Amino acid sequence: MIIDLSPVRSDKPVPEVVYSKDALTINGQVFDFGPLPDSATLPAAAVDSDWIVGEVERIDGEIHLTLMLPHGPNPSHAVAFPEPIRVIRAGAVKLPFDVPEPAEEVAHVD
Amino acid sequence: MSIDWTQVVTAEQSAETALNVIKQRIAAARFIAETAGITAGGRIVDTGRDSQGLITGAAFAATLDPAYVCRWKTPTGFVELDAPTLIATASAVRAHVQACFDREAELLDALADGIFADSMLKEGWPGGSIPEPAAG
Repeated sequence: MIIDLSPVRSDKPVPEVVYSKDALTINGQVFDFGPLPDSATLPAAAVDSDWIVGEVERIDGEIHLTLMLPHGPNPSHAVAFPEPIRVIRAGAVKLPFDVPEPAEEVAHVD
Repeated sequence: MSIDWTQVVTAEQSAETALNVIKQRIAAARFIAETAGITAGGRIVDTGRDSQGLITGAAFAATLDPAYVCRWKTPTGFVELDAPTLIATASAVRAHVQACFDREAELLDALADGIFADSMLKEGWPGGSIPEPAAG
């Protein structure tokens, strides 16, 4: 499966994504694209998910889709311009994300 | 339901849609060429669908009455056309229109044979001047 990432400024946390064969589980919701024939396309409207954006296609046997990638106000280059992810083995998919900066300490003055 | 499988677009459907789009573009190019007008007997003749009907009617009248003469409206004003000129003009218009449809058929054949290229849309359409009607 080829996962393209579409970075979007959002306060949502990066979703938990698990891959298994032709299926993705996103924050616990399963999307099994197994029945999608080769060279066929699922329009964006056919997939009920805020995370999967754009069409889902099977090209040369492999599912191609795009996931929304939320990020903060100052994303790193890796998050702002993410490389597509090719997943082969079942398991958690690591999406690029920036570790939040620690909140500034506020001096308490009496 | 997280996936609505009724919306799947198969490769065959995509190919058919793409083919239909090209067919529509070919038909649109034919219509533009068909209705672009011609020059017949030194006169610019409108070949729009309405004009095609008018010239056909005039040619029919000229066929029934060889002495038929009418005042014909052109982009530069009215001119008097006799029966042979009307028939020749109508024939020229008919030939132009048919040539446009013939070219459309050629392009559709090329599409079916897998040798159609976009550049072909701008080539091969009839145009130019039509000779003067034969005297007599």
